[in-house]
Amino acid sequence: MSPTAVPTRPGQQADPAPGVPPAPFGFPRRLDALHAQVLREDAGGPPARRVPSPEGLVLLAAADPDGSSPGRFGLACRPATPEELAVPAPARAAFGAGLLALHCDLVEHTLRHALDHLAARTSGGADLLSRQLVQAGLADAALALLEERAGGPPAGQDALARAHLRLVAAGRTLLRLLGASGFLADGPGGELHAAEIAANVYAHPGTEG
Amino acid sequence: MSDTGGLAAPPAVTYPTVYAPPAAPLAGTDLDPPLRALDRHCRELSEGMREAGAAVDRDPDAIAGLLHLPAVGFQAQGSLPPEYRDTGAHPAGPVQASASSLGWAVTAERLAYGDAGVLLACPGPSLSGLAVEALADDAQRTAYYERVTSAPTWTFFGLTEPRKGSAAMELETSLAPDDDGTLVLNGEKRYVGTAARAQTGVVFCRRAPGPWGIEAVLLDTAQQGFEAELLPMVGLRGARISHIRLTDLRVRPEQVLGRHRPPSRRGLYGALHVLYRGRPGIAGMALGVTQAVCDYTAAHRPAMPASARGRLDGVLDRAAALRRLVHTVAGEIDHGVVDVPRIGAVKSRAAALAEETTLLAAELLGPASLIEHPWLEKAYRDVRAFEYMEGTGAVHRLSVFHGLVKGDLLGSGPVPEPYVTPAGVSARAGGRSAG
Repeated sequence: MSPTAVPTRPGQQADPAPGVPPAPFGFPRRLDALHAQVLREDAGGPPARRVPSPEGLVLLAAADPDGSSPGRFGLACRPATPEELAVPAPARAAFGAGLLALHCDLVEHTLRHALDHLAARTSGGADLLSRQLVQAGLADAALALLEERAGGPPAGQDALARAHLRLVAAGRTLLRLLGASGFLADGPGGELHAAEIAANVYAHPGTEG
Repeated sequence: MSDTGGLAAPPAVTYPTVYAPPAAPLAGTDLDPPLRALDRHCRELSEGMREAGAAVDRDPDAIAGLLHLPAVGFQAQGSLPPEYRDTGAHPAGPVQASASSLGWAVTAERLAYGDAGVLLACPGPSLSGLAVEALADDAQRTAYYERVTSAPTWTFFGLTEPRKGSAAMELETSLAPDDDGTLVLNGEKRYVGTAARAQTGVVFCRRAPGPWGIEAVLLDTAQQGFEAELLPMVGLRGARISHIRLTDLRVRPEQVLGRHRPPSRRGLYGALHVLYRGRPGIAGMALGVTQAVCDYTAAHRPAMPASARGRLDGVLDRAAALRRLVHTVAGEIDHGVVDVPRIGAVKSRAAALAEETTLLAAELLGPASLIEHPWLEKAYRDVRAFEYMEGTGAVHRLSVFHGLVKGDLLGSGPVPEPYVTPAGVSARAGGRSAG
C-alpha cells in the first residue's frame, strides 16, 4: 500500500515528540461542569448536587487530583442522595444530551491529537498519516462524529445508548491508530475510558424509563 | 512517577464469583495427549490468579509477593532448556509440553483465563529467552540461563521505539564505537514490558546501515547508562510497560548476541524470529480472557434472554474457530513454517474478539456494570493491550493484504522462501516461509 502525500494542516506542530501526552481534554472536570450547568449550580467550585443515573448512581470528578482519591481515571461513583434522586426528568434529559455532546467533543479532541501524533511518526520513509489504512481509519472516525452531531438530541434512553456505543466504536478506532500510546492512562486512552464508564452508567442500552 | 506507574490505585476489591474454568478440552481444541495433559494442568494452576490479578492491577510490583503461586513458577519452565528446569517443583510432562509454540499458546490461554496481567508480570526469560535461543553462542547462552535461574529474574525485550514503533528495520537506537573503540549504546525504547523492573534484557540497535546492520545486545539493567521508568497504562498493568533511556551505555563484545553468526542471521533475524513466535501466545491470552468474560457474563446473568444468549454464543463460536487457527499456526511454527500473514491475522482477530466481548459483556450485565463488576472493568481495560502487543491490527491487516496478493493466505501457496531476504526485509509483510 503506497503512501499518499498529505499537506501540512494549518496549526500543525512541526515535529511534536511522539510519546508526549497531548493536552488533556479534562473529561472528569467537564463532567462536573455539566452537572453544575444542568442543575444551575455553576457558581464556582464543585456542585452540591449531581444528576443521577437511571439506576440511582452518580458519577463525578474524583475530588483529589493527586491520585489518592478512591476513583480512577479521574472519576468517582457513589449512590445518589435523596435530593439528587428528586432531580426532574427535563434536567436528566438535558444532562443526557450534554453527556453525549461531551463524548463527541472528546472524540474530536482525540481525532485532532491522532492527526498530530501520526504526522510525527514515520515508517518506510513516510509519515504514518500518509498511509491509506491510517487515512481510512481517521476518516471513519471523522464520519462517525459528523453523523452523530448531525443527528440531534437522541429520542429516549435507548437512542442515547446507541449513540454512545457508536462513539465508543469511533474512539476505539482512533485508539487503535495510536498504538501503545493510546493505552496510556494519562492520554486519550484514559479519558476515553472515563467517557465509556460514564456512558455505561448513564446511558446503558435497555434502561428506557 | 510513583512505583505503581503513576496511576491512582483503586481500592482493594474482591471478585464475588465462583471460579470455574471449562473442563478440558475447550471448543476448537484438537490436542494430542501430552498437550491435553498440559491443558488440564494449566486449568488447575489458574486457580487463585483472579485474586492475584486484582492485587497486580492495584500495584504491578505486587507480583514480587506472589511468587509462591504455582502458575507463576510454571509459566517460565517451558522457556528454559531442560537442564535449567526446576524438576522438583513442576511435573516434567506438562513442562515439556509447554516448551513448544503450541504448548505456550495452550498455557497462555489457560493462565490468561485466570489473569493475563499476572502471567505477564511473572519472572522468567519470556521474549528475551527466545532471542537468546535464536542468536546466542554457547557462552552467552550459559551465562544467560544461569542468571535467570539463580533467583527470580525479570527480563525485557527492547525493540519498540518512540518514533518507529516496532518496525525492526527502522530502529534508531545506535551502537557505535567511541574514541577508544568501545561500543556505546544510545537511544530510547518505549512500551517495553517489565523493563523498569528487570535485571536483564535484550535491546535491538543499529550498528551499521541496512538490514544487516542491526544488532541485539544483552544488557544488565544495573549497567551505567540504563534508565527505565514505568508508564501509566490503562490496563494490563502487570505487563509493567516501560520507557527506557540508554545514554552512553558501554557494551562489551560478549554482550552482542550472535557475534559468531553472519550479519544476516543476527540482529534483525533475531527480532523477527521472536516477534513471529510471540504472536500465538498473545492470541492465546486474548482467547483466554474472551472465554473468561463469556463465562463470567453467563454466571452473572443466568436468566439471559435468548437474543442475548445468542450473541454470547456467537462469541464462543468465533473463539472456537480462532482457537483452532491459533493452534494451527503455532503447530506450524513448531514444524519450522512461519506463515507471517496468517500468524498476524490470527493474533489481531483474537485481540479484536476479546475487545468486542468485553463491550458485549458490559452491555449484557446492565447499567453501571463497569462499576458493579470490578473484574469485568479490569478485563475491559486489559484486553485492549492485545491490540498493539506484537504489532497493531493495522500492521497485521497490511500483512494479510500482502498475503492475499501473493496468493498464499488462503492455502496452497507458492514455494516457501526465507522470511528475511537481503532484497526486501520486512517484519510486516512477509509471506509463508520457513523459520
